[in-house]
Amino acid sequence: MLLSEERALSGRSASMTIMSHPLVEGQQPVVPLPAREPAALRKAVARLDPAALARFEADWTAATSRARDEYSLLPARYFVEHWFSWVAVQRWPDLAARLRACERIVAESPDRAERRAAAAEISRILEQAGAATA
Amino acid sequence: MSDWTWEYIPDAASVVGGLTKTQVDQVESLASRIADAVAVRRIGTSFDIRETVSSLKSHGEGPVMIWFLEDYREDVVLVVRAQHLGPPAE
Repeated sequence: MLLSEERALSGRSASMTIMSHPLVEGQQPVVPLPAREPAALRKAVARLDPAALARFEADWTAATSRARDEYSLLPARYFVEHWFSWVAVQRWPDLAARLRACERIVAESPDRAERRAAAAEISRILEQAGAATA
Repeated sequence: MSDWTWEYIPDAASVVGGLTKTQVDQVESLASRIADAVAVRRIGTSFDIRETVSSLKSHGEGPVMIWFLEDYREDVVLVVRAQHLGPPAE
């Protein structure tokens, strides 16, 4: 954990400080950022975490079923955006680990400020990961 | 209706700052529906934080997609990201 994160997320000192994350410190991603289309995303998911493929396939099945039911292409867009963001985060292992840590804080911390700071950090992680084009 | 509410995290400017008034209205309408849905799902569930682990989720309806977490200690949906997938609204 970065020192700035420790300060921001510890006890009563929790704040909404925008923190830097490893992806801006010169590290390289595990896989290139894929195109926003299902086949490219599936390939990236398979490389990042083969165990996640079952959920990817289940989500795709649900999205296409909903698209048929609603006569809309939007469910496929939701699917693509969801998994694009998943890949965008997971291809930076330290960032993915930090997001999981923040999820645990939101779920388990008795400190309201700490939970809010962790949720704000998740917001920032999503923004950073989506903006990284390397 | 439910006792669950929702809020932008870290703030509205960060989450919906680039959207038009109409698009923000759509985002907030969906956030309210998510809060109501979360409340219904929790009926009958005992309060035990370790059984209610909150994870980041996304949900889309119409042109709006919201990313959120559920804070079970305060009955509030934390909206951390919003996307508008449709054409620009007036």
